[in-house]
Amino acid sequence: MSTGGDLSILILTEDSGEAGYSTILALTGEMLHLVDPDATRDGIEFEPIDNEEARRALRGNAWKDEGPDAHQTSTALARSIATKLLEDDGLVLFHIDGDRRWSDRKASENLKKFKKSFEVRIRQLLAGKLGDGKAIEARMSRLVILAPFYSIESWLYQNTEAAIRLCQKHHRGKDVDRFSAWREDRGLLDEELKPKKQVCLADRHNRELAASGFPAAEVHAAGKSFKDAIEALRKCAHLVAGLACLRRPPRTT
Amino acid sequence: MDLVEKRVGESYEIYYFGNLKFLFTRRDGSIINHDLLSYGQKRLLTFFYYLACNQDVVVADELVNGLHHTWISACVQAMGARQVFLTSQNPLLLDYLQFDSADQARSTFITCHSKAEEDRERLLWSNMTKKDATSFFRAYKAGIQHVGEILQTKGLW
Repeated sequence: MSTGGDLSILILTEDSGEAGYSTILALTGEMLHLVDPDATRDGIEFEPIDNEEARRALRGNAWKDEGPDAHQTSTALARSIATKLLEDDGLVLFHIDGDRRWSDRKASENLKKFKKSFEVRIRQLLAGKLGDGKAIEARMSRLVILAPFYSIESWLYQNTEAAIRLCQKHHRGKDVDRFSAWREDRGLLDEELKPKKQVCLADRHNRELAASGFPAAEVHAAGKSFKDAIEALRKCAHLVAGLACLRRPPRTT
Repeated sequence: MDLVEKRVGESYEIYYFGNLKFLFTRRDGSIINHDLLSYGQKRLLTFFYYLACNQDVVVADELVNGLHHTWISACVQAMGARQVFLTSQNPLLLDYLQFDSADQARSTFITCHSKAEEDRERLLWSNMTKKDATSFFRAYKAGIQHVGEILQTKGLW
């Protein structure tokens, strides 16, 4: 840590919607709190900053691009990630959907493709600066994949209290029973295919679901993909050390 | 260069020169004048002529338009220690800039944004914030991204 314990975290999401970034940013706050409940977020810098130009220049789904400018956009993304990993305080959290049920997670083509085709490019960029071996692996350990199964809604709909409220307010309570069942057994949502298509909320309220009372501890207790993501964060020594530097001083009476 | 006018007074003579011409020898030995240069070549020639006439200060709008990338490098080097004011919408120019500190980055860039205020649009000119300059310089030091890329991905341009 070169700047007194500050962390600079690049947050990337596959969700290209207007609320994609702010949703994953809010969820990240909840996740970091689970990793270290005593750490304050005041010393954490999140990138890209929440403005349209930055989001357009740095799309988290650019690694899958196939259009005429795919080489440029995916290269720009790989270079941004490698740059952040090389910064003293840098860390990258990357949301990639599993696109499978949790019980079928080993067959996730999305994650396999990311590791096989895109992580390699990041390693190559790091190798150009660090040589080979341990130094590269140390930096790569700062790239943490947050992979909900099936998709980000599999986590967001766990905020059943807010989901039921929104469902009653906007959709006459059409799917209240469904949300209630997910509340009773929080392990169910990870086994749903395309949850966004199954209930009335779709992805219209994602930011609110992430930012208003998300029950992170309960979702973690349910195990499965959210817990897996938390454990991946806890295994990131750089993040853990950085958060430890950001703990609030003990109160004195 | 042609002598275009001569004025003679009781105790002085004034000579006016004009029609400045530049001649270039091509690889095959043929000689052409500046009228036959390409758009970018004319801009390059004009810029070097401008530098020769201005030893201390340079003001140039969209310098790199039409220039081959090696010519951009030559222009940046030729500007030397002059105080320089450049505008650019092209990341190529920015990629030739070098920085030793976040403070230097902060003083180098002045960004221009348009903002709606009441019933009219205004242009706002500003340096980066200290925080943005620190973030920029950290990424610059990593040595992977070009300057233009850093500015774009951080939403600074």
